[in-house]
Amino acid sequence: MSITTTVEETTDDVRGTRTVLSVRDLEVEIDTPNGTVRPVDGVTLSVRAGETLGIVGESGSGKTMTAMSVLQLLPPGGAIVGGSIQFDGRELTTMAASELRRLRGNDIGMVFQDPMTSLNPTRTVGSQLREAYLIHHRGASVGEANARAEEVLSLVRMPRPKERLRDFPHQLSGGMRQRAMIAIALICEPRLLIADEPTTALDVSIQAQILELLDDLKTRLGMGVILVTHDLGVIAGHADRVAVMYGGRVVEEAPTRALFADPRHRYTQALFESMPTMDLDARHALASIPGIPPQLIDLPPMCRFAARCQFATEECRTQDPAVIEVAPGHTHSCFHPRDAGELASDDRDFVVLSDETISRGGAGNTLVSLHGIEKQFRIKNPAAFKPRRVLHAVSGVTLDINEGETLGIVGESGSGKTTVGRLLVGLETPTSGSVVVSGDDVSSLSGAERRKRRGDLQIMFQDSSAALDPRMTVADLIAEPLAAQHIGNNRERREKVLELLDAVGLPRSAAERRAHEFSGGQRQRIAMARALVLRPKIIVADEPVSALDVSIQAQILNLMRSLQVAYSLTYVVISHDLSLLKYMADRIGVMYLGKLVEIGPSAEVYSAPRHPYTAGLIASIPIPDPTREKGLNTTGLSGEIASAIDPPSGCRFRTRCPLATELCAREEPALDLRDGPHAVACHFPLSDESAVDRENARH
Amino acid sequence: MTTASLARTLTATRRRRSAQRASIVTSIAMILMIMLVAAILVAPGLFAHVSPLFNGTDSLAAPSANHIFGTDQLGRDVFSRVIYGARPVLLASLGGVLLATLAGVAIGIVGGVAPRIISVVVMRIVDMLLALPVLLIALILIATIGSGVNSIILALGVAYTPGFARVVEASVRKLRSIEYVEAAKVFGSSGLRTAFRHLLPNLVTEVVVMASSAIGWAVLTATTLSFLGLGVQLPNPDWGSDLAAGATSLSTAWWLSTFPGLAITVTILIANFAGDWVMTLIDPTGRRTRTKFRPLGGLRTGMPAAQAIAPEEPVALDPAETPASEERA
Repeated sequence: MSITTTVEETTDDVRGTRTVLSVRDLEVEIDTPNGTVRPVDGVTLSVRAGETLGIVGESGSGKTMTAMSVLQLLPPGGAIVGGSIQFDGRELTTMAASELRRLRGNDIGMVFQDPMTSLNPTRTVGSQLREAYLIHHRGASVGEANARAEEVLSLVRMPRPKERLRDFPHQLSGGMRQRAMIAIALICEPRLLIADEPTTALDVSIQAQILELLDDLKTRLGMGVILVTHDLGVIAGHADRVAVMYGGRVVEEAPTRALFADPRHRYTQALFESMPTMDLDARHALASIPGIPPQLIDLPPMCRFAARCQFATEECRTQDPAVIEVAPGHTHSCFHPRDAGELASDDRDFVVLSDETISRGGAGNTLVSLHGIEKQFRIKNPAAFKPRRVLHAVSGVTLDINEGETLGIVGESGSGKTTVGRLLVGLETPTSGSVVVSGDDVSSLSGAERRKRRGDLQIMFQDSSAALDPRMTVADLIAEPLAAQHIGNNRERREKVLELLDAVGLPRSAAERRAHEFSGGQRQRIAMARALVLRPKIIVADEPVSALDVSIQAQILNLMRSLQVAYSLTYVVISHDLSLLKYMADRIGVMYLGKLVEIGPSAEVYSAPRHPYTAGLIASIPIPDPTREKGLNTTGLSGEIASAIDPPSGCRFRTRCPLATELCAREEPALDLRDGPHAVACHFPLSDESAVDRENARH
Repeated sequence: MTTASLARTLTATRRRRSAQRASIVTSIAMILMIMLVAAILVAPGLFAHVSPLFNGTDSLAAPSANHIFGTDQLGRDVFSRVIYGARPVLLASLGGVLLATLAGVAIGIVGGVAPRIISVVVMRIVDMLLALPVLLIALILIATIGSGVNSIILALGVAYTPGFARVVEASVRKLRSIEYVEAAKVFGSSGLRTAFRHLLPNLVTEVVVMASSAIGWAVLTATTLSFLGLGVQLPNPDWGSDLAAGATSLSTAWWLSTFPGLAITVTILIANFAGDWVMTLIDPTGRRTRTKFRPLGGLRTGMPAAQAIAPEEPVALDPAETPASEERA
């Protein structure tokens, strides 16, 4: 059965159905010590029954505030100062608090981003479900509530729902917790479901499962859904209409297909161009949007995007743009919209990196090799007086890193990819096996010698705010590695700092400021400068851009690639995002549950994956192309990653593998690196022919 | 519409300015108060012109213009005794807390970074000390080394060290897994260097908060010891012993114990406010809750909502300067 037909049917149905929610000219203000922030500034939206409205935007664009103001769950100091919100014909902005409480949970359900913090850890899933039910059904008995809870859990496809009722949130995996959260939102059969980044905290394979579940529930229950996300891929596959927000305003609104085929607002266009997609040619630099989003304090009338827009003129900076309707349901507010059918600004924006400026492949010497490294963590046993349990984070990874290449390591959370990165830079010592850096086994070196060698291998962390000491100025932060290694005097260090600030594209005036004064992208540049100051040979980048917005991501990725040439660096990029790695890396290693299951040239791994896990990962990636995404026969991964405490026998992937046989349970497949450049650890590797079939199915 | 928005802008700026003014006023008030305490410590004669030991003619006189806090059974001026009595109490509590801070931070860092064996032994000893009541430790020490201000300082120091050590150890453990400390390890910073450059400066907030509340508790303990007759001995002035001396005649001469008691209360309050104030001063982000005195702008501690929408205020870079350069790089 093709999903396309069902979706189109519902889209057609929707046109006739009634409007569940209509928001008109909504304005929200929040009092802060720095002034009054206006995160929502004249937003007009509507959602019909059985329809998914996607709200997409960068952080700070007001998308979450818009969703929250529907339920009037605003942060302290926040208030709705103008406009109206009508739910089923009733005005919410003037409604009494007690009446609003009756609506929340009963008629309007909410799913938050992080199921870990939005479920109460001290109470069972069952009791939280019962509570949500009994609040709105006063007369109901506990038995009834229990029956209903079980019913909703099976609705969200929770395995063995009856047993899950007695579980506490921490006993469930991330995906199951999000299912429980959705079940709580659905227990009273709301007419509107607000999902605020429902899958951002989840792995890509689980994300696909949850989004598909939301789609299915929407069709079956006829709810209106507001899907708030920053991910255009998610929007493309799961929204019927999209509102693009920027600076507290809706800058463009259109049916999903129309928006992706023909974006009009210059911001929407720029947003699309800065996405690293699977098809992007690695020889191109990513298009990035210069600058950072505006602070929404005391802004004069102007297009909020004007400061970052290359088409901006005087009127953009002095007048509020009017809303223009270009097609039924397709509106935008831009003075200089992209013409219909205008080609992507490829030629002007994409810098083609010629072969001299970018080194691909890196056939150089081996810089670092890992020989069968294992890392086990001993963790407390939950049962008292029992021996500690052993968590096998990394089990026997053998890997060479060659000079000048970019090696990508991909895997779900819990696959051990971060531990491999930490083992590389010496933050962990392997339980067995060895790390060989330029010919010497690291464990055989003395402590002082090891400290000196540390400069060769540096790391960039995901969370740039935690990676920079809040009490130091930027100049001190960047010079600290030199001081720790006793290199140079103060003046020389200072020079070096200024040189590096230039290299990473920060003004020299940044030197005297502290890290918290910078935005996420700017902090990641500071972290890059600090990693570079010792002139390392290898930089391990652990999820370097996953905390950043799409437009900022592109800036950092371009910077990393240009620095690779300038400083002749070798990168190890660890990421959950396969499309990012396909763009950045020369080789990709795929990890599953502490094992390297496949490694090969990135284009080959992507186009002709040999391990079923890799193929499943690729199939789970949401593609920002509605025509393809909706026609896709989802063959993503089922289930969730197994426990690293008690890994399955034989092939560790066999519990989720569609091809698993008895042989897989008995015998562990080995990864044979002599097998050529594209090695795989599987008893039944996928052949090229089957890969071609899959490709055809996707198109 | 325009009038409304204009009014909003006006109130917003006024609010911001008043917040600024309040924080300046708070600073001035705090500095004045700390100077006052220092003056009482160094030169109590500036405030009280009568010696606390001088036996006047009228005994047990109620507060009047001559003796604003009244006089005691021997005709000594209570105001003078309160002023002079501050010195032993403040010396003992400040000295004791200083000792406890130094020892506690040192032990806590050792417990946090040392190899497992050492840290387990050290922290178990700390736990045992923590289990003993503060007064019991003080009593044991005073019984062995004799009474006096110095032994109270030592006793308070020993008694409050375990608390500091425990909190510091926990923060060090947390800090050690924070990325910037790990980054320091990766670029080859030695253990000692990391402790001084990254651990200590980031512990300051916790230590200041702990110390300011510990000063309060230490004042209470020091006066309790004197109250029990183990600190400063009569006839020398001390809040604790004066409180004890006046306690029996509370119904006939309320001023004897009330004023030393009030002095203790005010000292503890000042210590806590000073701690909060120092904490906001040294906070690198300047975003923490601010303490203000209610009469001077409200003792308001509100979470700035800005973090919810604008979690960071990025430095306004010249847009032409940075992105263009790397875009074409």
